[in-house]
Amino acid sequence: MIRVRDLHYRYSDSGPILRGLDFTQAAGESVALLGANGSGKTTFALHLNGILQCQQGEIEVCGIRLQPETLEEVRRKVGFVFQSAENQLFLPTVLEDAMFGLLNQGVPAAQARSLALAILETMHLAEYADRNPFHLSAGEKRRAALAGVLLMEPELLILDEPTTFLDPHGIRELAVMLNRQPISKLIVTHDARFALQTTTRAVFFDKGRILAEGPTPEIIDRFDWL
Amino acid sequence: MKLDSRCSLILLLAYLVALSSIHPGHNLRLALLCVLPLMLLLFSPVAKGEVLAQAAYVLPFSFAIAAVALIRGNTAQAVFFLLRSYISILAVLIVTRLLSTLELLRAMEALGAPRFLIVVTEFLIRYLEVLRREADLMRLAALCRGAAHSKLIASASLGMLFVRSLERSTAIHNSMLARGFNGRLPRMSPLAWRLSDTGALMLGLAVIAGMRWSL
Amino acid sequence: MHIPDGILSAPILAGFGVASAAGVAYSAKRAEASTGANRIPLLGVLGAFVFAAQMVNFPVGPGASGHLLGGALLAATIGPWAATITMTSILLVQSLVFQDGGVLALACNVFNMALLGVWAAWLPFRSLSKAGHPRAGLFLGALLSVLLSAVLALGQVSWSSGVIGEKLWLFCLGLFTITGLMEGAISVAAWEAIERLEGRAGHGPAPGRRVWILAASLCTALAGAYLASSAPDVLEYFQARSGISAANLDPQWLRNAVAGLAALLTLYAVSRLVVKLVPRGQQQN
Repeated sequence: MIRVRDLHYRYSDSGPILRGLDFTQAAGESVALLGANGSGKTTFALHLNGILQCQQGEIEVCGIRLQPETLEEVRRKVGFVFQSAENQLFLPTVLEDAMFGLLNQGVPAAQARSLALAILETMHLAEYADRNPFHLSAGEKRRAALAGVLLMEPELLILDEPTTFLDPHGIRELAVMLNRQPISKLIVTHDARFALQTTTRAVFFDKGRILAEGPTPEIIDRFDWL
Repeated sequence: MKLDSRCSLILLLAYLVALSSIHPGHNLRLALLCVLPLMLLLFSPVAKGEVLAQAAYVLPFSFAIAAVALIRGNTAQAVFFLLRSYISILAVLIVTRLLSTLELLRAMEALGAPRFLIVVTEFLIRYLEVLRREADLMRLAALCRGAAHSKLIASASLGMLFVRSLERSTAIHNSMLARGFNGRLPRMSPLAWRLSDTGALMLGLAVIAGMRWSL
Repeated sequence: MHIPDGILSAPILAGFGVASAAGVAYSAKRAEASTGANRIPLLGVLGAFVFAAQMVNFPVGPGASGHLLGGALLAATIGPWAATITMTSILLVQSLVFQDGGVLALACNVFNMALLGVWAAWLPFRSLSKAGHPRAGLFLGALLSVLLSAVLALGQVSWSSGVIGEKLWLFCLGLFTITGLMEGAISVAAWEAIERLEGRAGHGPAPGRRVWILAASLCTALAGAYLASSAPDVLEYFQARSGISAANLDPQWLRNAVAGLAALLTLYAVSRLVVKLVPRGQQQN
């Protein structure tokens, strides 16, 4: 599903963020990316659908080598839920925002609308379909953002800090919804409990390298991350 | 029943053209044309008092011209400019209350405005909201630190406002890219021109032309 | 400078309407080709910020105020085609959402500010840049941009209404010049910052990297104008004064004019100071 070899990255105004990273993830697997702030987790995740372009190294996602020409194809297969749901939801209504990705894929508007309404129903958001996404609660915003991405039927789902701003009930609800999705998941999180609920394997980042990987409970225990 | 946004836009433009083509002194024509937006206002589901008051916003500008005409002793011309500018903005206000800005932009695009211009405008509107939200957050943060009365802090924070807005707009753009955005905003529902729109357009144009040229 | 509906006559609207439509359509084609779809969000952000900057009036004379047009800065930053489209977007939103400027009057407003305003700034900027004087080019461009846009706007109102006399014209020209000088100073401060950023005299647009500095200068300008008067802008003011002879001005006018020039110099100094103070690391973000 994901194969990364010797990935390096540095922002123009700072030192190296990723220093020769190797990573693999099998199809159907759910993996947690753990590690301190600034250890490179999000930078790494942003590479997987080409938002950050590979400076050195090789990335293969869903069997496609990431290159400028393959970006569109990769983005169709990789769903990305960003840390700030507010940045993701940008259209005037929840329904329109959910339809955005489908319409970009060329799905006819009427079909996109009915698919979007159906997923909003399963996300318990049907009653908010015509509301402005900015007026939803944090949990609802997160679910709306997730709905817009799941609708595109990605093969791989990447979530960046999905539990930010959520209350314990919202976190549980999100975990249940994610576990219902039978696709590969890569979850960047500081929330060890959430990682335990949603993933089987964890990778621990430190200063732009992978320090350790293994079953999620073992890694959490080893780094005292709970 | 709501008209297609293209139909509304064409009628608005036709009305404004008719209004701009009359000259000072054609008082009856002006009075007749004034009836149209007032009737529309009467039957539209908009806050009537609010729209009438908001239309007065334009008066300082037209008042300036009216004042010049008055000083030159031409009262009729002064009244003409005041009334014509007021009634023009009233018509625009009613239409912009009935249709959203995005609907109007789509209508413009459908009527031949360059798509690139329309997409940039849609983004501009979107980022105005981002700018406003960031400004609100920053003002709140400044207030919490006792900056209520410091104009200096407010001014200095404008730079930061831009920086934050730019960061947020980059984040929004990234999330759009992740959902397959390719530089073209997709259309949620296609515009649908019905027979009733053709009827309304014909009738509207006939009424406007009749009021303008019959007398 | 934003002419509302109901003032302009049909022939003026028709003539400038055709010119504006053709100009914008062609600019959109060129901007799309040269800027690329990926830059659209950047144009949106720049537009939103110039939009906000335009809302702040600064004092330019006896009770009158002007505001930044931004055409010169946009042209120098993103090139004339994209600048024309961004300015047109700003005018469109101002007219549709804020009723600032008429819908039909867009025919003239777009021509004055988005076409003439941008090209009047771009041409001197480009030719003097080639001769090695980008600052002089930009200053002259910004001044010309404001002067020509304002003079044409006043001309359109005058041709349509026939109410603006010769003395008022002369008086207006004076105030437009002050506004233009102000615009020039702000634009040059921005340009100097861009040079510092890139370490050389710029040739042609390179958006994105220059945005920070453009922002810094705009913000400085806005900060300087924070105490701005709430007086109507120049064009409105002049029309209000019509019939009052420029020769009859009392000494208060002189004091105000001096104050306007002082404000101009202060703005320029503050802009340069900000440019010096912004740390290099931050500029390169």
